[in-house]
Amino acid sequence: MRIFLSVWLVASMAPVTEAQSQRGDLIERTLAIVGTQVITLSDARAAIRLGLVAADRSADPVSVTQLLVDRELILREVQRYAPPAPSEGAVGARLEEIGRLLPPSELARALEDNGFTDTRLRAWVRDDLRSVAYLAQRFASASTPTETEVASAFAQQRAEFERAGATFEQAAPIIRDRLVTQRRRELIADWVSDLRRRTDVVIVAQ
Amino acid sequence: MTTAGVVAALLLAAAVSTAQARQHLGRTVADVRVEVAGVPLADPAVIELIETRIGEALTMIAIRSTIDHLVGLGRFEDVRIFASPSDQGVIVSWLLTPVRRIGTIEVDGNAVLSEQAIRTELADRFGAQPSAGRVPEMVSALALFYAERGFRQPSIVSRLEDNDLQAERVTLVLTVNSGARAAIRAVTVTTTPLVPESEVLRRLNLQSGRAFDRTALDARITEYEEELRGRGYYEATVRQTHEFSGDGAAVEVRVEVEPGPHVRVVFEGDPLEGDAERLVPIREERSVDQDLLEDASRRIEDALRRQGFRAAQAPYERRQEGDEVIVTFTVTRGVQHRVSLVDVSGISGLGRADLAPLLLIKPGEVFVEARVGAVAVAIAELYHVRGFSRAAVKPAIQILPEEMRGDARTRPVEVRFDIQEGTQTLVTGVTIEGARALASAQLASQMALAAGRPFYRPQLAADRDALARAYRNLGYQGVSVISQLAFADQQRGVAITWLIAEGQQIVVDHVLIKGNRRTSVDLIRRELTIHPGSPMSDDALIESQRQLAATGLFRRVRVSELPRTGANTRDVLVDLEEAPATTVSYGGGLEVGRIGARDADGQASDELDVAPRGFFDISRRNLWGKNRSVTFFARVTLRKSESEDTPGERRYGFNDYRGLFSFREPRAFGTAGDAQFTAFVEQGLRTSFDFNRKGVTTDYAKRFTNFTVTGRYTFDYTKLFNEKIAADDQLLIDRLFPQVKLSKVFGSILRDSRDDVLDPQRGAVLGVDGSVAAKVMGSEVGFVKTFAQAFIYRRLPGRGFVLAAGARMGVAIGFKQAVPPVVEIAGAPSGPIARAESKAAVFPTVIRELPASERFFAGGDTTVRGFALDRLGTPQTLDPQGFPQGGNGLAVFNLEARAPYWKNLQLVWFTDAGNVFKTVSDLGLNELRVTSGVGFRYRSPIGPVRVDWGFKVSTRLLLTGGRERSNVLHISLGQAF
Repeated sequence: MRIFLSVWLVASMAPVTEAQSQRGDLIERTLAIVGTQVITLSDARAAIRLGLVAADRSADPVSVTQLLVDRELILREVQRYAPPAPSEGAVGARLEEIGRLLPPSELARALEDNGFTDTRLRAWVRDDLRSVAYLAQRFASASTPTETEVASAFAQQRAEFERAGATFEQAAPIIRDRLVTQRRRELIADWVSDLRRRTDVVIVAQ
Repeated sequence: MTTAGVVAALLLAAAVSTAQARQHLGRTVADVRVEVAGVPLADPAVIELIETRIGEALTMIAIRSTIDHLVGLGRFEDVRIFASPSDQGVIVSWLLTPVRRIGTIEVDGNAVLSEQAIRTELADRFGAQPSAGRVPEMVSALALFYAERGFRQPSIVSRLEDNDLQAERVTLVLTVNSGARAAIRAVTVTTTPLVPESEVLRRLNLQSGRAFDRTALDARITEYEEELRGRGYYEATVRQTHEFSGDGAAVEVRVEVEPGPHVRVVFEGDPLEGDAERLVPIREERSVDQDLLEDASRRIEDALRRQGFRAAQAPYERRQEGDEVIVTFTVTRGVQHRVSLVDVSGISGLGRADLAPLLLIKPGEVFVEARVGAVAVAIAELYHVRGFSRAAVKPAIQILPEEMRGDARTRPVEVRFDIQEGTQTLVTGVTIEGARALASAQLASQMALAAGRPFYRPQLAADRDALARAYRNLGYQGVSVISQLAFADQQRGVAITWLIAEGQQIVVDHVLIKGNRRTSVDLIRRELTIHPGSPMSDDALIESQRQLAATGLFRRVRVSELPRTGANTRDVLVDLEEAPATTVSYGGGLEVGRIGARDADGQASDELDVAPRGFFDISRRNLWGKNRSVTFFARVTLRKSESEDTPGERRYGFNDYRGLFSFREPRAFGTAGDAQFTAFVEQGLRTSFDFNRKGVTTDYAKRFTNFTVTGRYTFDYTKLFNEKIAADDQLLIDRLFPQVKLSKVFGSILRDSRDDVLDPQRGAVLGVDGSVAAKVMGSEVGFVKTFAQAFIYRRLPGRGFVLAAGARMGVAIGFKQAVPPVVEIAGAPSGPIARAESKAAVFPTVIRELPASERFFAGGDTTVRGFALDRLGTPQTLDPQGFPQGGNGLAVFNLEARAPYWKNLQLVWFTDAGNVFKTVSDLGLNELRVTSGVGFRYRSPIGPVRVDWGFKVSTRLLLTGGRERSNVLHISLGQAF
């Protein structure tokens, strides 16, 4: 399997490398197309650089393609139901948070290098907040775990809680929260998988 | 190289690429190269989308925007941009990889299942042309498809045949080896079926050793279950479970048949008038569940209450007797209630006349309690609309002691509506804040609520939508419209303030056109109401789509906005699928009716005419990509006619035909009108003569908002033959011109607002036309002729009642024309007319008549239905044998009521009146012949099939003795008018 993967990676790099040598430096490309919405290398670079996706800042842009595809799938669904737009205050707060990641000159450079404008960044943030609000509303009712399930989870995670010196009664609310979060995540993952089945998604590079 | 090494190399390459991209940005573009799959591209439709232009600075925004255009076009899925330095700046190379969609699926190997079934399954799940990237999903779906049919371990290998890297359509080749099909090892039937187990197995086609096909088995089970329910076992269920052996080669099937009890429905108590099957749809629904029985009980009660039985009850009881369940509905109608008084009190703000149309309850009618509530709601709503937002209407009913009405007991009911009007609120003023793109006056014109108008809250919502729509049509898609209300003077006045946040205007960036192979881009753009730079308007998108679809050139048209985050421009994608350029249609039919003929004595009589007909049409559309079209149409009818060789004997032959060739150019000469040139030849049978006509016409028609104006020039040559009118009795013009050349100009204005051309229920047709033929234009005969028509269609209260009325009037005057002296050749009763010196009777040398082909005729299934075709006319227009000669004046009036009868059947009553007059000065209402009749229409998929039976209100004596036939039957297609 490892050998196969290596061969595949080398093979997939080959055209790029060859093209690079002939035509210069690769400065932009499509990574995926979701419906009619394109996701590009610069989108991925900007998303990483500006902390718009949950990825390490040194991550390969291509590696966040799936995350950006999922984001786009969710966004398409959000736009169908048109939930209320987030407040300007919430958008401003998130932009400030992004601004704290980079000095102003670097932020401006990051936007310019990746074809972003202030308006586009604001729209991206607004879309993200709308998606979060939509998911919170749609998947608010992840079922509460039973006592048996909590006890079973505690048994599996006993070592962790014993190290912290927590009893079952103290650990139970934490475990309950974790189970609810996990179920919610699973529900969302299933939903996104279903969206992907129903949408024309072309992954060009990943 | 290890995997880790490769990944590290990739990460490094990515980091390097960011830095490399940065070094090229801002530099002047020295050259732009575009390649598709390695081949330079010269397609202007793609090149114009590239925004990295020579001489301009290279920016990522331009690159990103171009990618949006290229991907939005739907032709490319991978776009890569390279930059290399040059002396003059930077060279930008665009490498495009075409989108690859599966256009064809081929199956080889030992598939067992049919290739067509495989294609259908994949098309149903993945669409007609799925992306090549979905092949793995398709293979999985196909494996499941096989498993459902008993092939548990199929081998499916896919490959794409894509030798041409520029091809957008590729072929998917599926090599399928189905493997062994699971065989049924054992079948068991559990529970107690109505028939022996062997019969169940035969019915379900289950037998040990047979191949297992779950899909087919499920279908047979459903069919069997439906059959049991159809026999009255409404709770029957049939289920199957199965278990495969470890190797998947064998399967054990268990069938569970639960027929349940036989169900019988019984009605007791008072008789149930109406359709019991409709009220208790157990047989139709094939179910006796509790909801359905409760619903049936309620339906019976409602039906009786609508007949005035206010306290009607129809509870049901379900009981088991042996193997049978008996559902008994016990119907108790009670005493019928009738309205004895209707009174309204508390009116001051509105007049009683305002409420009168809403009071649909009248004394003497049966009392229906539900109707009282509906009237109260309608009155309250009228008050609300007039600004009495708190108006309330309280209905009160008083049931009086029972009394006898004829032989029946009834209870009179007094109905009173007590109105509490409350305060009327009027709008004192409307203020708009935040509007910049639209002037206040423009916005005010969108709103119904204005100063001095009654305040009605639903109208406020409608006004808000109208304002938002006005903005969205200007591209302000994020517009927010909020109303603020300030009530004053104890709710007597309200000031409305509209707060508008316009947001950002979105304008069209590029219009991307996809899917046109033959149709020119210019033609497509001409039909669009949206252009680069214009506001992104929902209405414009819809109108563009409508106009493109209206060209008839496309099988599918979709005009949509492409998403683009954080920009005030959007691309519009025009996605087209062209219709076949050549269309062929053909069909046949039968025409049955009465037509005038000559009887054994040579006199006019009506004869049943049964005429089979067929047509053929072939059109080639979109010539030169400009929506020009050519059409060849031919129709032929097998019809009885006298031949000149066998006078008096009518034989079947292809005596009635029409053939035409036409060329049509929409938006001719750069205008909004359509031009058409037609060459035709036709032959037809009329009551008094047969004719053959050849000619050419050219027309130009332009449609305005509500009407269409048409201009036409016609040159034709008409020859009459088989004239039934004796030569002595023929009009001079027919004797002089049995063959006539006519050169005519024609103009018409037509307004057609019918909702359906074949079966209109609403709308009207108003039209007037005129034509002139003159010798100076090359015509042998000159005349002027005009024809006016008006039809109106209205739906009457009640379901499906339609009233249709029509009026047609035509007048014609022949130009005075001197002709050489004409004599009749003695002894040739029906022979040709010769111009010769003779001592016989001399005819006038001046004529003012129209040739037969231009004179008016009436009678038949579309004019006055108490007469056979052409048989209507004043005595002056009929020859001594009763054959019509036609006239210069025509008046026809129609009135028709159409009522639904049963399913697609419609009953019709009609009255027609009209006549044909020899000259215009003879036109008079006192000469109209009135006929009336009944008929029915069957709404078939191709239009209403029509049967009309018309009766003359009074019959007249014929010139030849005897009386006119009193009635005529017509069978045809489409409404009469």
